[in-house]
Amino acid sequence: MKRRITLSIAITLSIVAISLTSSDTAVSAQNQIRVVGDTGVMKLGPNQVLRVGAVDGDTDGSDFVLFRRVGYTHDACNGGVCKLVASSQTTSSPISLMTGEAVTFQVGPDVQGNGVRVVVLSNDRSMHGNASIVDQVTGAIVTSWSWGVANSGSSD
Amino acid sequence: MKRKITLNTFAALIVSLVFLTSAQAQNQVRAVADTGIITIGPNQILRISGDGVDQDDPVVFRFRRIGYQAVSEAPGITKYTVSSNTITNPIMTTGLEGVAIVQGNLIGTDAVRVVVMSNRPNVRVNAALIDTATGNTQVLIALLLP
Repeated sequence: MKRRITLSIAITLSIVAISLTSSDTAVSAQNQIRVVGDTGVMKLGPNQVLRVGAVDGDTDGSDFVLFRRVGYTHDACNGGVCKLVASSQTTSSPISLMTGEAVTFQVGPDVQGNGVRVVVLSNDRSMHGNASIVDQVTGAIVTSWSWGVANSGSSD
Repeated sequence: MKRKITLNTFAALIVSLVFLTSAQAQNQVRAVADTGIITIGPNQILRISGDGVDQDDPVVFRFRRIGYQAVSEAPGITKYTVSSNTITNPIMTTGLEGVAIVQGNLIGTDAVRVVVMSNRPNVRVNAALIDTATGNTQVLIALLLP
């Protein structure tokens, strides 16, 4: 009987310890900021803007997003291959997204330098969106592509 | 003997439960593609189409169209909130394609997003921006697929 009680206590303690550890891991994972999207380096035309949009994949209202803009200048060119070097870097403040909210970050027009790149950072892995190059004169989208992980939460 | 019957009944129950779960999963409509938030040009339309990989597959599509309105602006950053959220009735396609069309320059809408939903995970979805004046496809959008 005594042995049984000891075993039960041990099992209960183990379960409590595991649940505490896993909940702690989940909380720290939620606070961790990681890269969720990256446009890569691109050269914009004089009348073009790069617009990067982000939407939250879940609806817990506790997530935020940051946009990092990296500017590049030419270093050396050899046989058609040009090396670019990061010459500027700015990161926005965290933008919190509540349920049903979305955000866009725009670069340009008339971007100085030889290339620009936008990196999207978030505490939420399900943050996703797209990047579009837009003609500022006509308002037409010239190209567009998606980034992130598709929302699997919107079932119906 | 009694033990054997109990065991058989238990096994049969588990098998039927697995079948029920998989049938339910196939009928469930889930997000299969997402355009993200985009601002369509005034002379552009967004055309999204989907069909099954196998033309004989009975595939169900639903298109959720979410309209956004700008609520705040900081230099370079615009925050939006949902202004409309509509979902089409299920569109059954067998050897056909389900299509959703969104006009650019919609009054009261600053940006739009279309989420494609289907009962099958392995579907083909295409998104294109079309010039309304010429009818030409200007941009093929690379979509997110799970």
